[in-house]
Amino acid sequence: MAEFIGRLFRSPSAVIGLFILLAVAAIAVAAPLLYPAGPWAMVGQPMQWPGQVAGLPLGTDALGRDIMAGIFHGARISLLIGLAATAAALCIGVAVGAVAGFFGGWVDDVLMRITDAFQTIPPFILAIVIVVIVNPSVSTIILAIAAISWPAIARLVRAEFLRLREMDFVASCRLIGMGNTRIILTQILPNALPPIIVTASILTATAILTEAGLSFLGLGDPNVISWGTMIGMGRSDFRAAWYLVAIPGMAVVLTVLALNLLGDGLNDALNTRLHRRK
Amino acid sequence: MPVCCMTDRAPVLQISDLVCIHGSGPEALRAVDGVTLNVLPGQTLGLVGESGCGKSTLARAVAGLMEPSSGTVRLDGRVWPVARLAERRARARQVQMVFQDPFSSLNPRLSVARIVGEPLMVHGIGDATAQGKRVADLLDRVGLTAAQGRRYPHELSGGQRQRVAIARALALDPRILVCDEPVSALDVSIQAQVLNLLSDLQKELGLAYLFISHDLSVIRYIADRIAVMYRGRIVEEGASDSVWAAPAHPYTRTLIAAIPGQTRIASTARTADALADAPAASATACRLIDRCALAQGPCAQEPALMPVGDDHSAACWFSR
Amino acid sequence: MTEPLLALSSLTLGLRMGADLVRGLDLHVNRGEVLAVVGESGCGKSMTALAVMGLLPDGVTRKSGSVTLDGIALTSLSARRLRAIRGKRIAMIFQEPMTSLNPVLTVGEQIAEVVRQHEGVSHRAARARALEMMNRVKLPDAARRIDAFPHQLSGGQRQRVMIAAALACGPDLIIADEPTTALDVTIQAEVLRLLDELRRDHGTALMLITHDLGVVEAMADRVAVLYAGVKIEEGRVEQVLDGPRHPYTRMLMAARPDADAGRGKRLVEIAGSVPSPDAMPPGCAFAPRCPQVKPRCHDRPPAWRGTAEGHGCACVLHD
Repeated sequence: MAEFIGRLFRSPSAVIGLFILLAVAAIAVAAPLLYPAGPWAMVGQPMQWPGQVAGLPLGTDALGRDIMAGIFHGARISLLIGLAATAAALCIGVAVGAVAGFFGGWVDDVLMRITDAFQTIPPFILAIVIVVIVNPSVSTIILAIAAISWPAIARLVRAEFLRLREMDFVASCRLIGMGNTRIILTQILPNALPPIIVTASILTATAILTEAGLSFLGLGDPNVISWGTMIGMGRSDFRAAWYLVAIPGMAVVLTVLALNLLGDGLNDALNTRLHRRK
Repeated sequence: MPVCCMTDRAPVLQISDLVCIHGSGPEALRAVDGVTLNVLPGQTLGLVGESGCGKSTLARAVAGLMEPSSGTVRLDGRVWPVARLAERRARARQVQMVFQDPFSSLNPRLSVARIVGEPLMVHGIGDATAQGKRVADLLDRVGLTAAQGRRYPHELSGGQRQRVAIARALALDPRILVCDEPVSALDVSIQAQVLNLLSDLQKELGLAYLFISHDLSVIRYIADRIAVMYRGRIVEEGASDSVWAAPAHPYTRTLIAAIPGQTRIASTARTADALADAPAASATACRLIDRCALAQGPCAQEPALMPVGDDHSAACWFSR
Repeated sequence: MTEPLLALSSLTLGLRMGADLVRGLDLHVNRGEVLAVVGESGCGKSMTALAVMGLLPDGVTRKSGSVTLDGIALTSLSARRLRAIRGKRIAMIFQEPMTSLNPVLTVGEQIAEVVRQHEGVSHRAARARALEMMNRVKLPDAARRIDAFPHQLSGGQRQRVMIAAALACGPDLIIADEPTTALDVTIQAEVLRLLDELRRDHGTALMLITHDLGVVEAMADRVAVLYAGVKIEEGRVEQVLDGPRHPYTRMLMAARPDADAGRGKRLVEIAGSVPSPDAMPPGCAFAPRCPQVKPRCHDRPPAWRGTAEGHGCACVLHD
């Protein structure tokens, strides 16, 4: 473990990514303390440019709400949705992929055809359909994003399980009388984790982008402000006040970039493990 | 019964008319095609054959990694189905296996002590303290230190890893160990360490080995009895010395002649041409008909194992 | 004494900015001779072969010493001139023919490719040569197999194709790195016999890299034993195998389950394992495992002692 962390910190991309993510997380945690009034409170004249008014460093939007407060509170929603959707996608994807890859045969066929079915529909459209059918709320958005993300995880986990279940150490576990569930959970899954972790960081980035996209289209949770909501609201004033779109846009870009950098760093740090044989 | 024992000790492993078929339909491959073998307690049966002869499939069927298509594997006189977990656990105390590649047979994420102790945990043998003590004993027995027990497989050499695999296989006190090419991935000097260790363990614990190898000199060194396998069948079987001194089957003679280094290569007798070049023979003919210099009329019928001497049998019409 | 065909002189190979893998190696191969280079994994034998071919992997570099083929210093040639020699005058055969053959080209194309690259002949002529080579290595039914893909052949047949490709331009020297290790014993015997015949008929020299003393006995004229990147013994096969001088060579021979030794006799173990390149002992590399170790073995590497008959060894016991 210590060895792994050492390798991770030797990778500049991982360090930059982690740094940005920690900053975003700090913003999310600090939001209710620094802006207890919440992102909806109107605190000044509308359409103040960044730097124009002291105390409102990022300016205000068309209704005079503090953009800084929006970014802070939006970070909570974007991170929450990104992480929760990824966690849900991991649960479904790992379960489906593990069972399909470990047992093979007809179980594999059935599960993989279901996965195929999900993958034939363009993911963003599917997310829109789900959110439109059930009312948009934070939890339904999380579910919608999880529903479009799990097939990728399932395929990845299945491929890892197909490879690992043929290894002799798995045969050896069968021979000592270990049960299938225990083999899956204690033997194969830990060895399949590195690519899953890497994919999860990329998936979180995609989830944040998808949420921003949904909110931009007005399909976000109307009760909360996310970065996507802010971009969506700023869109109509884009020509007069481009900063309304650019600032939350930058926040999304930075966070997604940070997650991708972290994914790269994790990939490099984790990959030596199984591949450094002999 | 030519293949069975002269002593009154009951065999610890009885393989009767075992057939293992891979795949189905016209593609089906009879990897093991009617094998009957016995192993007595404390004895080593060396099974030798070339790649694709079915020896690894036989090993997996004996160990319980696959259900045979027909025939039986009896351990301690009874058949142990492998479908149910409880049966598999009971079977695990009879037979364990050592694999060829010590880089794939140990879980890279677990410490050595955990790998060796896992069988005890699965079977719930003893509490944590007792298990720790047993693991220390096992490590000591295979010549590893307690410090090495705290390491991970990738920190050990190939020979040390194979010792770990042997310690794990011994944890449940099985009566028979299936060793599938346990030294072929190792350097010569390390091979000697592992072969010596296996001999010592056999003497101390009265273990029986089904020892599989492609290397006849290793088999000759370790085995009390030798069985030669070709295309799914046993073509010769007998006491090690008599098979070695008087090989009765032409294929066994070919294998012995092919061991490099006994003579300069140019003067070696010409061996038969490559197996892959042989066209598929008719189903009833001797499987060696296309490679065998002796092939004649009677070889259109496949011979069964026939006694050729004291405790020695071969499946060849010309072996008597 | 005529000049050797291939000469390595004080060749040192190592990781760039890291440990040395082969240290001060002197070797030579005479015309038409089989030199076996023997050692266990990590002794540097494969790295030496790659260095001769100019095919060292990334990160490994020649730190000093030279490789000379027939008077030409290969180590000072440009990459382009080295390419012209590689394949034409020296060819290499690898352990696993499946990974060294291109799976999407027919075997005939791959042999012909070697010929065209070095001799600039027409497609038709190159194909004719490929067929000739496949017949020469006794690939059964060569006229049909020339259009086969590697996966359609057995391991032994693929190794024959590799040998055919190596022979295509009539090289003076073939370097064979564990050419039969991946093959069954009966196939191994056939491939060894083929190599032996080719050498007899065409006078091709062979540098045979192997871990198997049986193969050495069967094939080689001379043998060099490597341990941890250092040559520890060298001589004619009968000298070295019948009267090994270095303790390591002796133990290596005794560790082998010998077919004639009979069963149950305890094999000689070499305790411990090969030191890793970054933790080489200052003295003799074998000292930590040697049963006949003397205090001075730990001080500095032993000097090379030769005999008039060409049997040399690096061990203080023979000072």
